[in-house]
Parts: sequence; structure tokens; C-alpha cells
Amino acid sequence: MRAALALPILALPAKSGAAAVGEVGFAMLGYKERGLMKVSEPLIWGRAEFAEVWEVRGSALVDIITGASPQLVTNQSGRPVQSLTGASVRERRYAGDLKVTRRFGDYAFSVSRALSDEHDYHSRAFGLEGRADFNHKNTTAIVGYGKSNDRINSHDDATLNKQRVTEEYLVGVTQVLTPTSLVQTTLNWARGDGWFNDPYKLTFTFFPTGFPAIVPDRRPDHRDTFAWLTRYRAHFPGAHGTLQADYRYYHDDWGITAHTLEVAWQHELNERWSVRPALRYYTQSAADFYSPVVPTRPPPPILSSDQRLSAFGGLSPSLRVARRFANGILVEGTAGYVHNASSLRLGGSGNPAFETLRAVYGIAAITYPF
Amino acid sequence: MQRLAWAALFVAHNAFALEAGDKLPEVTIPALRDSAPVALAGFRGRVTYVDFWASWCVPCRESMPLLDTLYKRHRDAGFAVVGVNKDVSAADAERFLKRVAVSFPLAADAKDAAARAFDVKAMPSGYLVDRKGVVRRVHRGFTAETAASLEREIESLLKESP
Amino acid sequence: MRDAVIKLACCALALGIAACANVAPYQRGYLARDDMSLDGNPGTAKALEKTYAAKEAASGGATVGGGGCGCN
Repeated sequence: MRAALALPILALPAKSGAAAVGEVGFAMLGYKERGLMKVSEPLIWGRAEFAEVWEVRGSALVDIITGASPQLVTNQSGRPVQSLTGASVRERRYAGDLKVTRRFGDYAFSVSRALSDEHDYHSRAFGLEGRADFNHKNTTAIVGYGKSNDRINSHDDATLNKQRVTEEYLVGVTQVLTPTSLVQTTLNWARGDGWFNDPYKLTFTFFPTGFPAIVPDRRPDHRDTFAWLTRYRAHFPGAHGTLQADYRYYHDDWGITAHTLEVAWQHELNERWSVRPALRYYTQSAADFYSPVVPTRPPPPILSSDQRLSAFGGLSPSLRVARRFANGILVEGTAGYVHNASSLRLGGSGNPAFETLRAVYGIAAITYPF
Repeated sequence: MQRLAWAALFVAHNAFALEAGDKLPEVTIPALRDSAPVALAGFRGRVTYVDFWASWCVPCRESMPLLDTLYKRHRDAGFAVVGVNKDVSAADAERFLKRVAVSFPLAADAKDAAARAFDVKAMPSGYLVDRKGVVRRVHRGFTAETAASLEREIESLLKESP
Repeated sequence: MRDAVIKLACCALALGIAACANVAPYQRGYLARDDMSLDGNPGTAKALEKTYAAKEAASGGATVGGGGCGCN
């Protein structure tokens, strides 16, 4: 009698819990700076949920970098300027990552691994993340720990073989505010020890009297960073759109304080098409040891003229257009413009030596759900 | 006004939860596709499974085909399924149904009247009601265990007289 | 008891927000939209990851274990 009752259950769709649900996607990024660097980046990514409690996600990409990168800041002309020396760059970077998550009721635990390899830079990192849902999933808390081991070499100096270890910690909370809005805030601390210098950058300074100084990039062997990111999402059914706003406060013990604000409006034109205009503003102060000229004789032990450590601001508008097809396939195209300049720094007082960066980028992406 | 509504919901959600042994809330819900609304009172005499689902509910991709199979198999013996959709727009529900077609009656509860009457606490939520209109089993969420025990429960209730 | 403490904490956290509402499990239709996700489309987000970061000093966000790059 029991066997007869059991048979119909076996005849039920075997899909229960066994089917994988997820997506796979391809994207291509093209990035071009005026006069400097060009990057092409094809990438593939995927995500799958299966057996009700497992989720796996991963990606792989190649960065194909050509063009030029400033190597030298020289004041030979009277003012410090970036100078491109040597042959133009031709670099490839391979990167991949994998994250496995297991759900236990209202809790989830993840382990992740990331790798990045270039001719002169190798990075291996892992991450651990814990998530807990409260309040009928209205509140979610996350904690995370990550560790990265980086190895730095130089194609100019075969003897250079340096290491850097970075540990990072994360706590955050996501809160549903209304049926149409939510907010997330996360705190992220990182502590790095080891080699931070850029092996290719030099500061070349002429003095009114005496010999010029050529000083290689020398940074502290320790860096403590703090980032506080808050993200807000609100949907307005009447206006057929969603407001997306992200703000990040950053501070480190090199003296750099930075603010990042990105605001976007994702607008649904109809069931298939959507457009997303966005504007990103960035501002940062200079590192304590940044100087475009060698300030003293003898030169200070810690000095960098890398303008990524100087005081500047940046504005980046972008536009994304997306089309969703009936079978669920999503095609997205994004175009963006990056404009970093000394004059854009919040409150003025950007470093005058900062050379304006102008770049454009385009991303084409396609996602196949299954 | 909105603040009052939220406060009421806040209190209401803690007030009670529909459990086994409670009577079926005999609400009338607008139909998803037809013009004639679905009246739950009309299911007296049959074993009914009232299932709250939505296009954004991931386990519903498995629960809906399973319920369709059970509906087709036991319909003649007096088993009924009512799928109550919780999508804000019928278009989202239809997109889901294109992938997962079902043959049982579907209702649309966009205004939350039915969800509040049943005090739905999870998605999906399934309420198995006997021939006399008493809720006998509540399934919150959907797992392989739900699939395994559901048919047994239906068959046992079908044996009971109205 | 635990739920009450969490609700209190969430209300304290949501400073200046008029209603610290408890959204029911069946009201998550809007929240499940793609444009309401915090990370966006993974492909596009991944492609943009280093675009800005390679030109700026700031780093860090909502994930850990990302690793570094030469990114000159």
C-alpha cells in the first residue's frame, strides 16, 4: 500500500530543487585616454543557484593595454609636467574570481578567491563573508574578511621582486525602508604592509643651482585605509524609474581624504527599453608625501610625484541603454566620459601640477538567463 | 496618512498568523485574466490549495509546475488549486506564466487584501484547506520536503467526506 | 524579543527617514527589480571596477577579497 502511494511522487517533475537557475554573460569594455593609454577588456561572467541552498558566481577577463603611461614628472620646462619616456606599453592582465555561497535558513556564508596576473604584478586574494537576515528579510547584516597577497616585479629591473600583504574587514547593514526603497551602508577597513612603490615612476627636478635630482617613487611600507559606502535605491512607479545614489567617504593614513558621489536615474521607456543617465563626481586631497618636484636637498626618504596621489577632482557622466528581450536576454550598452582635473577639486586648491585626464569608455554587455 | 497605514501594517503583521485549524478566510479576489472574480467560498466541498506566488519569487519556479501536475492528477477527485498572484503588474505575472504555464485558476491580489486576510508571512505560501473549509496545513516557502509531503496530504484530505 | 530589538535598531539607524516600515514578505515586488539591486548587472559592474579605481587613490566598498592589480 505504501509503495503504491510512493510511486506518484516519483513521477512528479524531477526539477524540485535539482534545476540550476542563473545567468551567464559577456561584456566588452573599450577605454581610451586622450594621448595616453588604451584598454580593451573582454570579460565573461556567470551565476548559478542550485540545490536550494548553493550559489556560485565567477568571472574571468583579459585586460589588453596599449599606448603610453606617464613615467616621469620633470620640471625641465620650468613647471613640473608628466613625461612619457621609453617605448609604448603593450601589456596583458589576466584576472578571474570565484565565489561560493551556502545558505542556512536566514544565514549565508561565502568563500571567494580572486587572481590577477600581469607581467610585473601578481595578486592572489581570498574573502570570507557572512550574511544574516532579520525582520522578515527587511534587515540584512554582513561581515567580511579578506586577505590579498601581491607580488610586484618590474620589466625595467629584473632583480625587483617585492611583496605586499593587505588584510581587510567589512561590516554593513542593508535596510528595506518602504516597499519601494532600501538603503545599504558598509564600513571597510584595510591594512596593507609591504611594497607600495611604483617601480616605473621617477621625479626629475632641476634646481636653480647644482645638479638635478632624479628620485624614484618611494612610498611608506604601510597603509591603513577606511571607506564608508552608503547606497540608496528608490523606485517611483508613477515616474517609471528608479533613483540610484551612492556616496563613499574615504580616508587613509597617507593623508588622503576622498569623496565619491554617483547619482543615476534608471528610466523605463517601456517594457523592453530602459535608459540610465548617470553622473559621478570624485574629489581627493593629496598624500602627505606627494610632490611634483623634489622639495629638498637631500631628497626626502618618502616621495611620489604620481598624480594619482595628488589633489584633484573628477566628473564622469555616463549613459546606459538596455533592451530586454522576450526570452529574458538582456543587452546593455554604456558610454562614459571621464574628466579629471585640478580645477574640479571640491573647494578649489587642486594641485596645479595635475595634468587633466580626458578619457572615454564604452561597454557592450549581454546576459543570458537560464 | 501614509504613516498611519504603515503603522497599521506594522501592528497588523504581528497580530495573528493563519495556521492549521483556522477557518479559511472566504475572500473574493479579482481574477488575473478573466473578468469574473474568484470567490474562495465557492470551493467548499473540495480540497483546495490556496497558493500565494509572484514572478519574483524564485522557489515559485518549482512550486507552480508541481502544483499544476497535482491539480491535473487529482482534479476529478475534488482537488482545486487557486494561484494568488502578488505581482504589482499583470504583465510581470504573464511573463512568468509564459515560461511556467499552469491550468488552475489564477487570481490577482495587487491591493494586498487577500494577503492581509491570510497574513502571508513568506513567499510562496500555500494553504491546504479541507472540504469543510478548515485550513489543515500551511506551507511557508517551498523545498523538496514540501513537494514530497504535499501529495500525501492532499490524498489524505480527499478521502474525508465533505 | 529579538525582533523587537532589531526593529528598534533599524529605526535608530534610519535617521531622518519618516517611516521605518516593516515591509511584508509579499510586498517585495518592487524591491526585486533589477534596477533596485545594489550591484547592478555583474558584467558591466565588473568591467567598470578598475576603470575609475586605476586613476584614483580611494578604494574600498561593499566587498572584500578583491585583490589588486598593477593598473598603470
